[in-house]
Amino acid sequence: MSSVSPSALLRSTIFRRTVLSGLIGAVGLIALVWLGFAVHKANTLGNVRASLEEEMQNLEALHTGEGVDGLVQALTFDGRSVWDPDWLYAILEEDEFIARVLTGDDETLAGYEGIDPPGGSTSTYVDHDELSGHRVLSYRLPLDGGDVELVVARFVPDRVLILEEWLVRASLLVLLAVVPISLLTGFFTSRTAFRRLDTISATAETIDEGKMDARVPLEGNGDEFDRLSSAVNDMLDRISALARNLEGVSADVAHDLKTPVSNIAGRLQLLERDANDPQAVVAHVTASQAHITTLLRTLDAMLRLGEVEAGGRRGAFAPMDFSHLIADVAESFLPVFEDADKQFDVRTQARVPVNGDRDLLTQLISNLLENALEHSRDGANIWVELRTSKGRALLEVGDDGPGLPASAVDSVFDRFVRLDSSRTTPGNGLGLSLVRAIAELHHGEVRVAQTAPGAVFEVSLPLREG
Amino acid sequence: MNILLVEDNQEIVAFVARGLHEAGDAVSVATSANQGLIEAAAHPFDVIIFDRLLPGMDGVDAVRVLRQSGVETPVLILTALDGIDDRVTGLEAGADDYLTKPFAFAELYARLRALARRQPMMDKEPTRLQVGDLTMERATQIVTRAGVKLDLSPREHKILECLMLNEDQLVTRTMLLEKIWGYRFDPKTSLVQTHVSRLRTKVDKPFDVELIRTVRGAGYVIGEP
Repeated sequence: MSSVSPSALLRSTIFRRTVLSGLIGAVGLIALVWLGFAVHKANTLGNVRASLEEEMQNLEALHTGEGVDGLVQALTFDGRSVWDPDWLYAILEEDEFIARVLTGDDETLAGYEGIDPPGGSTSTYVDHDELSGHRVLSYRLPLDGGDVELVVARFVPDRVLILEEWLVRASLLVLLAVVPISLLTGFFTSRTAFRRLDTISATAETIDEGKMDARVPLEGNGDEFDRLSSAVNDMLDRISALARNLEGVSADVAHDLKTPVSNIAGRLQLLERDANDPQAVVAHVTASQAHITTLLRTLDAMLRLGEVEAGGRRGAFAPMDFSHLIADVAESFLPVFEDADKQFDVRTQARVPVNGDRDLLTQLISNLLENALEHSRDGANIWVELRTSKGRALLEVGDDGPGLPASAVDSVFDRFVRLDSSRTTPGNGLGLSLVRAIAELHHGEVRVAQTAPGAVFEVSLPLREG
Repeated sequence: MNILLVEDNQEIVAFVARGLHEAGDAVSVATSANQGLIEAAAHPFDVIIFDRLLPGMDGVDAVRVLRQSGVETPVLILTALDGIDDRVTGLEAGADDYLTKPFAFAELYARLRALARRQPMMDKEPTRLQVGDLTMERATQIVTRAGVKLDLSPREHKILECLMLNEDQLVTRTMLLEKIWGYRFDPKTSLVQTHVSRLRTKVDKPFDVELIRTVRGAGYVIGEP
């Protein structure tokens, strides 16, 4: 297992996504907190402003009723109308109002001198040795046509300001901290992914080196990597099986084609030697022609199989009665079975409509019959049965012969498979492959329904609808 | 027969021409599709053999051109391809028969004879076939030999009819498979032999003279010895 190089890590999508999502998460969190704070701040300031306006209206009403004197009276504490700066501490703590009544010449008649905001509603600071850093909300209102002015102010609660300051620091801190944290998370996340992917890459490399049986190890937790690995393993299994099959097929093809060619070569040598013996010449030529026929049959079967498997012939499908077709082929084969001293029994259900290629379905039936003919014992009973079941036409061809080994149930349809491993019996091992290819072309299937006593092959085709 | 062979493969030209010469037939050879079309239009032939793969033009296209220009001479297409659909394409283009290489000369010759014979008889199909003392009434489907009525199965009847229509000429096994069974594949079993042999036990066995003869490795001929 190789380690993760830093540059590979930076290029890794998982790494980049993790870091990015970390940053986005942090920014989102900060934005949310700030939003909450903004609501809280607006709410607090709103309360302050509302109380300020109420106080303002009270004082204005007092002025309307009792004039400037009444105002001065109301702001006089302990006999002093002009406030001592020390009083502001109490106001700050008790949430009360700072007020000032002044003349047009800025002479303070009553209240605190150290507040001088511009007109209307504003946010400002008081002039005070120690409290000048505290923000206030203030109102300035001209009375009596501008001869006298009234100022009312109130401290903005400290906690809002402290919170705001704290939030700025916290946000910066979070932003600073989230970068290394998401880098670290990204590193560990992508390292896990890298490690799992590396396992798969390593397996691929092993296979590349020719060890076809290598497979990706699973962790067993069923995560996406396990699923991927499992899919890769399944694919490798399938490819291996196909490759093994192909190797076998190639060897068998070579054998099946080479045998008749060698025979012909031998006959040609004999022909040269026996050139003066007319009888021998005829014998050698006849034998050579028989070998050529064998060779051509194999080639024909291969070409036909290839053509059927390519699936290009569905265009020529036509509606037909499978029952009629089977009866017709069976009738042709009956004398052949009789001459071979075998019993032949045909049971077909009337009217079995299918869609298909007449020529190919004829060959399918004919190949199954020839298979039964070749592989049953003398005097065997061979039977054909056609019936319908659950929307499918079921054709069975069986005999009461020795049957076939259970291990051959699947392989018997593979190309060039012959249960006689010496390959000395006639036949090219393509007959049943062609049966399967034709059945599959017709959206059907073929299987060995019974292995003993006597083999039973079952072809199932979809019935034509309507 | 007067035959035009359009084929560029010299081996096949030599093989076919020699066989036809020996059988006493006349052969003209063209080595390209164009040359073949010109020959076919200029002279009356009994049968034309067209190779499928010719320089310059596909044999099937050449046949189509030939038919469009009004030449009705029977055409047999030779091909190295063995696709099931190739035959259909060839026949649809207007060819009359189709043979896959490699082929036996006997097979080719039997098919040429069948094609050449087809033409003049197109108008009046005989209603009564006769070979020696064997008679087939085609309307009633009654077959008699030396006055004795023979009991044939429908398939045996068809085989006999095909043989009698080609009296004294070879009818190959493949031709019978195509004509009687409609099979375009070659069953491994001796399907044709079995059926012909049954026919012979009915037609020949009870009588002194054998009318149906086997041509070894090729097919059957019916005729008086």
